[in-house]
Amino acid sequence: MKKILSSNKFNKIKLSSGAFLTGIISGIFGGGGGLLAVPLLKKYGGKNNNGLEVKKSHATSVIIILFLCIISSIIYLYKGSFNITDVIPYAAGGIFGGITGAFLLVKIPDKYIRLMFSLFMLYAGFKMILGVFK
Amino acid sequence: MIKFIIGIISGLFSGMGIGGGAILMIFISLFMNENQLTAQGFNLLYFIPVALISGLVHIYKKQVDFKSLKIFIPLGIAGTAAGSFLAFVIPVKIIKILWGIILLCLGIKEIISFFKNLNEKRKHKTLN
Repeated sequence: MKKILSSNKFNKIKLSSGAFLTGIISGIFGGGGGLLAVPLLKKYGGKNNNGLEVKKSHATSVIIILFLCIISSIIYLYKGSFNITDVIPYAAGGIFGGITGAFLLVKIPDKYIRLMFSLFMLYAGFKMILGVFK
Repeated sequence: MIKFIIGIISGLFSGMGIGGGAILMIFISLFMNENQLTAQGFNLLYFIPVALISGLVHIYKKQVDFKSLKIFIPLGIAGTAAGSFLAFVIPVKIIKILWGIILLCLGIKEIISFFKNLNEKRKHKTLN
C-alpha cells in the first residue's frame, strides 16, 4: 500500500489535484498561489514527479502564477470589480520599486526587513479580522 | 502620489521575493479603504507585468521545469476560473477573515524563522 501511495503515478495525481486547489485559492483570494505552488513543485514536480530543487520550484511557480493571474484578472475585470485605469499609479510605482528592490537586495541585510515584514503581517492580519466585526 | 508610493513599497518587497502582493492588497484594502474585491483585482493585475519580466529571466536561465508546467497550468487555470467566480459568491466578510488568518500565519512563520536563524548563528559562534 505504501509503495502505491509513493509511486510516481500517485505523485502525478497529487500534483494535479494540488494544481487545481492552487487555482481555486488564487482565484478566491486574488493571489497567494505561490504559497501553494512552490511546496507542491518541490515535492511532486520534475521529470518523474519526484520533486524539483528549490530554485527551479520558485522559477516554475512564477510562470504558473503569471497564467493564473491573467485568467483571474480577466474574470475580475469582467465581473466589474475594478477599472484598469485605477491600477496605473500603483503599477508605475511597482515597476520602479521592483527594479530598485532587485538592486538593493544585495546591500541591505534582509533579516531585519523580514522581521519588519512579519510584524506588519501580524498587525494587518488582526486589523483585517477586527475590521469585519466592527 | 500615495498610490505611487504604495506601488513602490510593494514593488520593493516583491523584488526581494517576499509577499509583495500581500502588501499591496493590505494597503489598498485596509488603508485606502477600497472594496476587498477591488483590492484583489488590483493585486492580480499588478502581478502580471512583474511575473512576466521575472518569468522571462527564469526561462532564459533555464530554471523553469516545463514538464511540471504541462500538468500544472491547465488544471490551475480551471481552478482559478472556478475560484474567481466563487470570490464573487462567497460573502466578503468570510474572505476578509480568511485573509486575516493567512496574514497572521505568514507573520508567525516569518518570526519563527527569524529566531531560528538567530539561534543557529549563536550555535555556530560557540562551535567556532
